[in-house]
Amino acid sequence: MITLTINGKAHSVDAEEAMPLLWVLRDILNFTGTKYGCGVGACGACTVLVDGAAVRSCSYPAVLAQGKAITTIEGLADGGTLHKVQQAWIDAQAPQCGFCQSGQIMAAVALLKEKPQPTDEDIDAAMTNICRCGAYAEIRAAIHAAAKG
Amino acid sequence: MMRLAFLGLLLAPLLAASSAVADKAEAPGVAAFRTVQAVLTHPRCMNCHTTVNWPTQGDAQVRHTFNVVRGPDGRGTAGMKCTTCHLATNQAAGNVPGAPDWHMAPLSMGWTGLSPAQLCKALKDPARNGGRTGARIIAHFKADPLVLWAWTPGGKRSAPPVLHAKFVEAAETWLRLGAPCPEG
Amino acid sequence: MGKVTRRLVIFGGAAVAGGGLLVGYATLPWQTLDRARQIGAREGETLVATWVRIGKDNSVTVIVPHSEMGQGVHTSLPMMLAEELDADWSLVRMEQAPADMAFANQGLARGFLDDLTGSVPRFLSGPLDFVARKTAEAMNLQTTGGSTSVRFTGVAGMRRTGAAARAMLVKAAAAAWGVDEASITTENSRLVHAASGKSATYGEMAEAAAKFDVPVDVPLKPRKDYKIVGKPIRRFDIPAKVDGSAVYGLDKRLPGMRFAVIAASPVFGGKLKSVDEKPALAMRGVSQVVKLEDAVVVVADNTWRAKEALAALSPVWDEGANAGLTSASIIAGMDAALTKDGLSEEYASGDVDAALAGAKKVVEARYVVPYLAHAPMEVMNTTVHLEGDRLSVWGGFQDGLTARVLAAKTAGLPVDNVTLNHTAMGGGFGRRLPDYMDYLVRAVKVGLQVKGPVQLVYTREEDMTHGFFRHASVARMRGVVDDKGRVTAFLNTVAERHDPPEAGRFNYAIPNQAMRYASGTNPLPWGAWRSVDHTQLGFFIETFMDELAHAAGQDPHAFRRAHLASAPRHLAVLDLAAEMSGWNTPAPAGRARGISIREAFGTIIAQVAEVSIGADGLPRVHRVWSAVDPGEVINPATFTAQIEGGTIFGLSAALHGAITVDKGRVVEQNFTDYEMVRMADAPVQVVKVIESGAATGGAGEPGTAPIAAAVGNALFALTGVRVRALPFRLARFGAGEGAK
Repeated sequence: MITLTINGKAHSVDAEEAMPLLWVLRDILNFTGTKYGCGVGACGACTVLVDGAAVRSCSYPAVLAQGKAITTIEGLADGGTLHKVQQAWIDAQAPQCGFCQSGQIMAAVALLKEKPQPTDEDIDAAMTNICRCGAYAEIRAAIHAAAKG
Repeated sequence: MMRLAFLGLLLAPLLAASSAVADKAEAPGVAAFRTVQAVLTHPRCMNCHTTVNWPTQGDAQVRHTFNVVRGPDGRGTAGMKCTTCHLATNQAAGNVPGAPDWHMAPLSMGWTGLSPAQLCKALKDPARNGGRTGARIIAHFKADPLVLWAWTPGGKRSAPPVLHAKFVEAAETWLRLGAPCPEG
Repeated sequence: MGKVTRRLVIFGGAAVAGGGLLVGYATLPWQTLDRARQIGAREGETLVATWVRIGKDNSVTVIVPHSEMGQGVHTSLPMMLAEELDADWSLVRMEQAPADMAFANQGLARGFLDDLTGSVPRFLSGPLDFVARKTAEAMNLQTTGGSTSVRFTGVAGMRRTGAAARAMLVKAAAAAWGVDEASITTENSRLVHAASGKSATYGEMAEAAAKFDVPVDVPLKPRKDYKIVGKPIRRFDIPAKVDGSAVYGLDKRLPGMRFAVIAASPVFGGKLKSVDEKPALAMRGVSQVVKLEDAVVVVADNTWRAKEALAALSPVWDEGANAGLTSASIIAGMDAALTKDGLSEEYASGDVDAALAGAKKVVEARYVVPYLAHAPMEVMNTTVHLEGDRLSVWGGFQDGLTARVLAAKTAGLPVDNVTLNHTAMGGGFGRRLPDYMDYLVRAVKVGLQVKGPVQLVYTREEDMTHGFFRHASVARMRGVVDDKGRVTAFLNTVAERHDPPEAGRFNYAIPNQAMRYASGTNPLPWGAWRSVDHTQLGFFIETFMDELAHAAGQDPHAFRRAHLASAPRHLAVLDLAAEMSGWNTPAPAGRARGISIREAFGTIIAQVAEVSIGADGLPRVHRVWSAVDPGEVINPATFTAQIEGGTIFGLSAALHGAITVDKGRVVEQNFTDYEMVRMADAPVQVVKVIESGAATGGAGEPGTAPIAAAVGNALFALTGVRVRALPFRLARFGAGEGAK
């Protein structure tokens, strides 16, 4: 059994050592907001925060997250109040199909934590997630808006 | 065809250099450096010792996918660290390589495009080797987890052509004989 | 949308020709409405007409027979209905239509028939609606594709339904108050009789209104009176997409549900010979190995365990006839097909052969494009649960009704025994259209063998290697420019032709032109991919037009202009794109611009791309200006997002995209070798719209059509290298200065 602290709550999970965090979240604990996109760390749809830093949960063994704070998209809002990045996403009408957006939002939260006022270059370097719908302009605008707000 | 011929021209000196490892005509110190060089110029080392703003990847040494950049300290950029994907060990899930503190060598220690002679000079120049003395060069070669990783790279990635022990031994020989460099 | 339009032409044409269909008109549509009222019933609400329910609480629920995949139709279609209804937008809700015949999308069919027949005389309006309904039912039509949702369903279905429902509410109020219908006004979901001071909410009149027949030819509002359409209304689907609560197909969870991961024959058309199941069955969590004719499936208690156990198996395949295929052999086959006689003729005007034969100089070019994967972010999947003789299905489909019928057919059950539940959809781009629902069929086959609910998942690798690809193509173009710099002949011969009809055409005034095509040259499964044939033909035609401009020694914008004198809408977008981009001013140092224009799905779009070559020798696209005339825009925010997104989609293909084949297998496995445009590569885009008032055009696909040519033409302007084979990353331009 491993114990994971997800969005502030402890969960005990019977998962083998090699099992990536993504599948523990999605298939055992039903945190389905974190998405499977590629399974090889190349698209970023599975991005979650571990101790505040972005990791790609599809290639991150769940056992490594023991004793650390895991934040998923479901844990961003503070009660009924959306995180400023989520609100900025709505205001910019950023999502299209929306499937990549949990990962995009988590990546943006990690960026803003380190660089509260990112430049376009900072955004280019940090936001490596794929959006197949091509909503990059709206995502960029939303990050700038969240930085202001 | 033109391109192939051109490639051949480019590769010729490199091929000559590696065959020179066994060249008795070269001074023993230089010969030892050739062994070191064979490791240093391998993709496992070169991919993170670049002279550009990004790492390369794979045995083909192509630019790292999805616009990964080195960032201010060689550990990635705000919100997108090397360790976002590269963990302390190789990951079978996703075939992502890993070793403790995965990061790039500083720009000053970049080796992309250097000739053997230039590489040799860079290696012993404290301004271009991270301020390392001979002993600390050996320590880096011997025990740095990122260096050691090159011999257990995981997946289908190739390891350097020389055993780790032989590599360290050659480096020690090279330093002991006064760290001589090849001509050119 | 590909084949759907073809089938519509055939069915619609036959139906229109059959005068006997008029007879049944008086009764049949209302029977359908009765069924819709049963199925669509909700406590406290009344289904006034097929697509709209009004509640006692004055809520308006618009029932949308299309799937939302990010294009915004779950919002733009309600906007169109609510506008004609004079509804209060804050009271409007959206619901996706049940996958039931009663909600077959006659609006889509009607829109398509209107498009075919031109403007319809009013006396034909009723019969045409009947034909449309029958067409929609016969086709199980709830298709989302072909950029048709707004221009067909919206224009011919939603607007007319909104206007009809409003007319019914007015009738009900007039009867209740004993006043003349004409004296009643409507605004913000209220009916008002000014003279008597009487008023009522729509909710109060809905039940009475539903007792009237639904009128078919109510006049629509003039645009100047619009209060909702034309505003950047926020989309209904977005809040659930920022907090993780939206349930996509892959997110469906049911008690006791198992996860099934599939490996189909790596060679197309291959069959499963045998597989030793033991290595998988010995692994933790694995409950079952299911063998299909052409695939092996591992069933486990989570996706990862199923995936790991599948990797432990060594299935033996009968690889069949395709095991020797390579990309090179396929392209060689296309080249050979194009040199043979007996090509089909798509269209011809003048005498192109004579013009070519008599020319002093003929400009010739051969272009090649590879296969492409749809690669939506959400891999193919379907969840099924068989309980006795009832089957429940969950997933994202670009046609729910077809999915339901297909599931029933596969399970050998009556359609009524199958429930189809729509989930959110992580991208479609054509992959989830009716003709390509292999994942649904396989899920049902697996579900028949598994006790309890099961979710079938394609891994990314399976999804990438087993698609219905955008087909590869070769084109041979021949053209003649006379000594005045005018094109006198333009012959386009191309391997494979699909849809839509306009993709092979252009509006340049060229006296002798023809398009001919070879068929049966693509051995891989292939199908509609965002913008369908525009992706190939747009590149071929607009690159060749650039080559002709170069042959004429003219500026590419001025050259196109000169050939569009009789196409004012095209001329207007071309000039706007040039103006926006500063075409006649020099590009920044190290950069150059290229231009391209297409008419796609009823929308005319001209693009200018500004490019450079990086120090790594690879092209960079810095800026794209799009000038677009879609006739009218319903929701400007989603319209712009669609043009931008369509452009990025086309740019990913133009710069990076190639699915290659070796030994009958797809080589590319994942995003590591099938790269996409990401944030750092995404050009700065400016989109400007001309609302010409012409018939409403599509939004989802036009942006994809011109971009490859615009980029290639810019690269030529910059480097002098004319790239005739995509993707551009494989071309060699030499190192430039613009690297980041």
